[in-house]
Amino acid sequence: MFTKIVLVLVFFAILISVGIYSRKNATDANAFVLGGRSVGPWLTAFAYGTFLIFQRLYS
Amino acid sequence: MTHHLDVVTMPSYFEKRYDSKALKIAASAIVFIFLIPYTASVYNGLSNLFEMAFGIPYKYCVLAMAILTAVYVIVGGYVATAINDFIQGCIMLVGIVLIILAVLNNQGGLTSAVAKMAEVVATDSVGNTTSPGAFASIFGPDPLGLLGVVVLTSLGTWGLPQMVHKFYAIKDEKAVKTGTIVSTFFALVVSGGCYFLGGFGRLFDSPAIYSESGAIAYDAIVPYILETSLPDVLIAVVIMLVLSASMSTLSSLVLTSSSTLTIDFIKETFVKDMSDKKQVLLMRILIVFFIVISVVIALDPPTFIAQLMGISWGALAGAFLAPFMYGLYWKGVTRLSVWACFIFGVALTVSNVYLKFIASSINAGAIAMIGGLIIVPVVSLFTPKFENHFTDKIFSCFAK
Repeated sequence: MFTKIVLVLVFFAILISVGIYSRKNATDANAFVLGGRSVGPWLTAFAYGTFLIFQRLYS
Repeated sequence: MTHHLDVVTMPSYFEKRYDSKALKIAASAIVFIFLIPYTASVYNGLSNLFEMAFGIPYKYCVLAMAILTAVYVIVGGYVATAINDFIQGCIMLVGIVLIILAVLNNQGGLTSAVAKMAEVVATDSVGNTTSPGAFASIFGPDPLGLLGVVVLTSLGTWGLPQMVHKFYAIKDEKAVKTGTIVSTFFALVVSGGCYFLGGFGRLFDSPAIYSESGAIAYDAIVPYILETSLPDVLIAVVIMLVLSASMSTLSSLVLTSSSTLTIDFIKETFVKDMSDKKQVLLMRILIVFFIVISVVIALDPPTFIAQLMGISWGALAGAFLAPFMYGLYWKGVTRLSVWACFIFGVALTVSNVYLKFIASSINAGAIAMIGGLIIVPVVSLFTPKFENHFTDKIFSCFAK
């Protein structure tokens, strides 16, 4: 039980710190919505991948 | 091309490509009507899992997930969702591999598991017995149907505003190619992993996986495998996997909704000279607003929204896929054909909720997509075309 909780909390902490880290990039509307159109292929591909998993899980 | 047209959202792509403000407004309306129930459906998968792992009621899981997602999207915008998607994607890949290994280990290794599988007399959900050995094939009993589902879910992605949005954000054409290869690989691992796991689910024969009528309850199989064969650490991985899938989708949905509303609707109609700072502020407020709505709906869904939840994916993909894809590569698409496709996609999926002429909502979505892909070129042949110099200007980015 303890391991489960710690792992999930660590996961949450990482997500939040990524948010804070990205803060400096989110200054104008274009950057906020599209990351200034400078997002690399790996990030985009994984975003696509996570969505496919989502579809698998829910349909 | 989206860089060339300088568009940020899907509705504004339709406006620029087909030179019509009305199309943009119609597209924004479709995005809203269907994205909101879609957002609420994101929480569906959480309930069983969390009660199993922690004994936490569904309500609190929904709240926790919503707050967490809200924080990182609001603070970090798209860059944060992209990096988090990447992290979540890594967890998913590692997680799926670990789970498969653990399940196999539990069954005494790969060869013995396959051997056992061949002996299992397969019973399908209606209770009919099929030939033994059918499940030893990796694809399961219905390879063609499986292929159809995989192709359609992948293709349908190109009609979903929140996914197209991700490709707008990409750097250049070369990056798009790499991205496509990586994501195809990702999709293969994921689909392979899920079906593998689903197939092996049949080895865990136990009363727990049968529903009251005696048929196998497919939904119950996977949680049952997890519960009986995984150590604590792996259960945490599974939880992170499901959370990741939900959060990643939720974050991109709310970002898409709020940017569409701000840029295509409010800025366009009411406040023409909105400053950049105000736009970002407005988007952040709207993200909170959309997440709050999604939580409210998820906790207590009104009947008609619950019905929309199942079909939102099909309606969006059906309406947008064909006009988007053809618009990128073919000059001959006409404005009326786009209208025809919007109306067809939405009408087919919504009327199906009430008339039930197509049994499953996934099939209805698939038919809407295929129908759109046929309707757009056919209607384009019979309706007035765009002037040559207009399409030449739009397509000039390819000449470089």
